[in-house]
Amino acid sequence: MKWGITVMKSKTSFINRGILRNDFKRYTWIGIVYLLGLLLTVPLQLVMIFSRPEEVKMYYDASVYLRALQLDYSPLSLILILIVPVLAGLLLFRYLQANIAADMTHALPIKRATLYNTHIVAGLTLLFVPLVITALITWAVVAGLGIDFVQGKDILSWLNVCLLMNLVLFLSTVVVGMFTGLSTLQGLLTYILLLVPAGLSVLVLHSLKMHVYGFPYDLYAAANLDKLSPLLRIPSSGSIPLSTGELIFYILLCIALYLIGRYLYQQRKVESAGNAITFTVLRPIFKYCVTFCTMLLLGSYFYSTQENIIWTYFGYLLGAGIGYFLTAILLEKSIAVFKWQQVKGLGVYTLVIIGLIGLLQVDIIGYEKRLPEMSQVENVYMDTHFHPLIYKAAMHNGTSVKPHLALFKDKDNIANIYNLHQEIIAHRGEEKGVIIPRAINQKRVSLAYQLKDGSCFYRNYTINFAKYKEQLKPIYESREHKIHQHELLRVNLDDIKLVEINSQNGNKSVSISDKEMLQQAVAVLRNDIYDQSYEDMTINKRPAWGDIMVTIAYDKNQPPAMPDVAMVADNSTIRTEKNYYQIYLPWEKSYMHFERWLQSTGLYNQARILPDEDISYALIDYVPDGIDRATYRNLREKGLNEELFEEKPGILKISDSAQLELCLQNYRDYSYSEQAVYLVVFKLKNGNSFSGLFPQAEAPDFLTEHFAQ
Amino acid sequence: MIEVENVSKQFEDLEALRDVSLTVHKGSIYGLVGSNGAGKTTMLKLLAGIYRPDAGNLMIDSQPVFENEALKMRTVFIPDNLYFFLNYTIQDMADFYANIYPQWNNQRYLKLANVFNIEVKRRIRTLSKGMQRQVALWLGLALMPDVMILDEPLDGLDPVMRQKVKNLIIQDVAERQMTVIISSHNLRDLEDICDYIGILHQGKMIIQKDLDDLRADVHKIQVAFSGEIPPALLEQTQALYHEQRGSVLILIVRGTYSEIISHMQSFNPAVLDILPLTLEEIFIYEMGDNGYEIKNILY
Repeated sequence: MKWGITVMKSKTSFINRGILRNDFKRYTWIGIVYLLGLLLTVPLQLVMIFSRPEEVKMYYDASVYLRALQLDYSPLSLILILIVPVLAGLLLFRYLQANIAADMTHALPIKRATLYNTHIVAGLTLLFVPLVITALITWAVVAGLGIDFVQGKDILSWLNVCLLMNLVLFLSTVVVGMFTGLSTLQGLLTYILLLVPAGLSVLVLHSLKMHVYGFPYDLYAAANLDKLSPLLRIPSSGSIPLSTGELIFYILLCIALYLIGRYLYQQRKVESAGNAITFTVLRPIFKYCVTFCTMLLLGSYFYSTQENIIWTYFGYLLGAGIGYFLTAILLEKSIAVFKWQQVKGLGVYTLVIIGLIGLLQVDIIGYEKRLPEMSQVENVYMDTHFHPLIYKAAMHNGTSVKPHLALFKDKDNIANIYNLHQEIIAHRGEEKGVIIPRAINQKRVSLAYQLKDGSCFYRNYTINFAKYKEQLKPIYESREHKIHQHELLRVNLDDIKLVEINSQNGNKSVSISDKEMLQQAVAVLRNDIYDQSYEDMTINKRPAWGDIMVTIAYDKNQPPAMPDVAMVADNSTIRTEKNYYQIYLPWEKSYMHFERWLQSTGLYNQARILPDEDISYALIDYVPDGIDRATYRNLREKGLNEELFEEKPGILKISDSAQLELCLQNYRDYSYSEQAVYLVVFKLKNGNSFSGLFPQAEAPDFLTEHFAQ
Repeated sequence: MIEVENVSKQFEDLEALRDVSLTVHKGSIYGLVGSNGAGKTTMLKLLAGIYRPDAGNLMIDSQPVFENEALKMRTVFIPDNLYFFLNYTIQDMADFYANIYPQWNNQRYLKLANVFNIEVKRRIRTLSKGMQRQVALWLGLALMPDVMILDEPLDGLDPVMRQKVKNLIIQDVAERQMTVIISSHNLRDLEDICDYIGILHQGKMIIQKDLDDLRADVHKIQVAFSGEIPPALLEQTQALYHEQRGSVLILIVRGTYSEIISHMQSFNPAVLDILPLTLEEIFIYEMGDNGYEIKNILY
C-alpha cells in the first residue's frame, strides 16, 4: 500500500504524456513522409516553375503559380491530403482493432477518454506540423525568389483548407474506427461515408426522376452536390474557396465528430475488435443502409443503360440481394448466411420498398398533378434544360459569360405555357418513364414558375412534340420565345461587324461588312425569324442552304448573355478594348425575306448552290417499304453507298435544272419512316455529293408520276 | 483484496461467465483452474479492467475496477497472448512502462535483468515465446504491483524458469503482501503455490476451496468385510464416491479423520485403510456427478 501515496496524486488528465510520447516514437515517420510529400508538391513546384526559361515564363500569369496551391490542379498534394489523415487515423487507433493490442492498452491505468484524447492530439500534431512547416517554407520560397504572383493570403488559405480538411478526414476515420472493428473496413467505410451524402442524394434524386413524372432531376442534381461531401469538396476548394458558412459547418462537424468518437469509445467493448460492426444495435442499420444503397445503385445503373423499368426493377432486386447478403456475410463472418432468418429480413425489406415505390407510383402527395394557381404566376421560364438556372455564370475563354434566361413575362405566353403544362399533366400516364429523348419528336420541356409570393415551382418533362402541337405552336411562334432562342434578336445592331454566309455543300461564301448592308441583312433575317412558323421549325424543317456567321463586338466589361451554341472568338493574340464573338445560325429555306434581299443585292447566287452552276445531276430511288431504324442508323453513320446506288436498276437520274431546283428546295434530312420514301443523291460538279430523302407526301409531282409507272 | 460478486459476461451469443463470485485475500495466491474456454481469461480480463461486466461487481480493495486509473496503477495484468509494440526492444518497453506507471522501480528492473538474463537491447518480437513471457514477468515485477493478475504465466517456460518465476512471485507475496490471481489449465502447476483454488467450468464457478482445508476434509478409505457388505453402511454414509471390488469397498467421504474412523468401525470391517488422495482426486470426488467431466479438465 505504500504506492498508494503516488496513486492519490495522479488525477485524470486530458492526455497521457507517456502514451503521447510513445505515439510520437512509433508514428513520427507519418509526419516525416507527409512533410516530404508536401514539400515536393508545393514549394518545390513553385521553384520548378520559377526556374523555367524566361521566354517560357513571360507568358505566365498568376494562375500558373497559384496552381501549386490549388488542390484541383495539384493531384499529388490532393492524394496526400486525402490519404495521410486517414492513414494516421487508422494507425493511431489500430490497437482497437487487434485483440491483444486492445487488451494490453486497456489494462494500462489510463481512462478511455484520456487514451482517445491523447491519440487525437498525437494525430493532429503529426498532420498539422508538416502542413504548417510546408506553409512556412512555401512562404520563404516565394519571398526569397520574389514570386509576386503568390501572396501570403494564398498560402494562408491553402493552409486553412488543408488543416480543416485534414481534421475532418482524421476525425472521420477515428469515429468510423469506433463502430467498426476491422482496419480495412475502417479505411473503406471512412471514404464511403464521406461520399454518402452526395452519392445517396444523387441516387435518391435519380430514383425520383424514374418514378415521379415531371421531377426536375437536373436542377437538383447539379445544385453543387459536391458541397455535401467533404471528399468532393476538397478538390474543388482551390477554385471555389470555402464560404464562411461552410467553414462554420466544418468546424461544427469536427467538434461533433470529436464528441461522437469519444462517446463511442467509452461505450465500445474491447472484445469487439475484429467484428465488422462493433455495436450490435448498429448492425441491422448498417445492413439495411447498404442494401438500400446497392439497390438504388444497381437500379440506376440498369435504368440508365437499358432505359427500361423492368430492367430497373431487376437492378433493384439484384442490388438489394447482393448488398443484403454481402453485409450479412461480413457481419456474420461466415458465408452460411442463406438462412430463413436472413431471407425473412430481406423479405420484410422488399415489402417495405414495394410499398414505397407503390406510394411514389400512386403519387400520394399529388406531386405529379400539382400546378400553381394561374393567378399567382409572375413569370415562367421554359426551355429544354435548366442550365441558366443552375449556372449563374460560366467561364468561357477566360471571360465570365452569363447564360440567357428564357423567361416569359407576356400574359398570353404564360397562359399558353400553363395550358401546355395542364395538357402534359392530363396525359401523364402515357409518357411516364420516358426521360431521355430518344425517339424523333421527343423533346424535353423544363419549366420554372416564379410565383407572386416569391417561391418557385419546377417541373421537367420529356414529351412527344407531335402530340402537343396545338399547345406548343402559339408558344413557339411567340416573339418572346424567338428572342429567347435567337441571339441575333437580342444583340445591338451597331455591334454587328460582319455577316458571312457559307453554303452547306460546295464552297460558296459571301461576306458582308458594309455597315448599311449589314443592317439590312440583319433586319431581314430578324423578320424571317419572327415569321418562321412552328411547322417550319419542326416537322417541315428542311436542310439549310447554309450557315450564317455573325460577328459581334462586345465590351469586355459587359459580356453578353450567351446561348449554348455561341462561341467566343479566340482573340488571345489581339488584346484590344473590344472583343468579338460569333454566333451561327442556319440559313433556313423558309427565310423568304432574306432570300429576296440577297437576290436584290445580287449576292444570292454567290451564297447558295445552284442546279446549273454547281450540281451535275441527281439520282432518285423509290423505297416503298420506308426506312426502318437499322437502315436509318446506317444512313446516318455511313451515308448512302453511292456506287451501288448509281448502278441500281430503275433509278431515276435528273439533270434538268427546274427539276433539280425543285428537289433541292424540298428534300429532307434522313429520318425513319414507315411510309414509302424517295432517296435522293445530288452529285456536285466538284465531285462531292450530298443526299437526303422525300417523304411520299412531300415529293415533287414529277417524281410520284415517274415511279407510279 | 479482490472481491468478485455474481459477475456475468456475455460475448455476443456466447455466455462466457455466469454468476461467478470469488474472493482473494490480500497477500494470498488464488489459482483459477479450468479447461480451455472455461472462462478463466474472461475472468482475469474483467479483473484487469479490460472488459466491462454485464452484471455483478468487481472490486479490488473495495473499489470498482473498470476505468479506475488509481487502482489499475497498482495492478499488473500479464495476458496469455502477449503484446509488445512492433520493433520495440526490452529497454523501449521498459521506458514505456516507466512513463505510464509512477511506481516503476528501475532498480528492481535492473536487478531482475540478472535473473532473466536476456539482453535489453533485443527486440522483443524476435524472442522466443518463452522468452517473451519472461520479459512480460520481468517488466510486470518491476512495476511493483499490489495486485498481479497472471493468465497462464507458466505456459511455455522450462522447468527451471518455472520454478524461478514461482519463487519471484512467492517472494513478492511474502515480502510486500502482493495479492495474486493466477490461471492455469493444469491443477498440478498451481498446487504448490496457491492458497486457494477455484475451478471454472463452462462459465460457472463449480468449486472454490482453501487448499489446506480441502486436504484435511476429504478422505479415501478402503474397507473390507468378511461377509456381505452391510447395506446400512452405504445407506448411512454420505459417500462422494464408492466403488466395490469383490468384498472390498472403496469410499471417498467428507469429514474429519477421527469421525470417519469411528463411523466405519461401527460396522466392524475386516480391513480399514485410509489411502492418500491427490488434489485432482479431491476435486473430482468433490464434484460428484460433475466430477467425471472435470477429470478431463484437471489432467
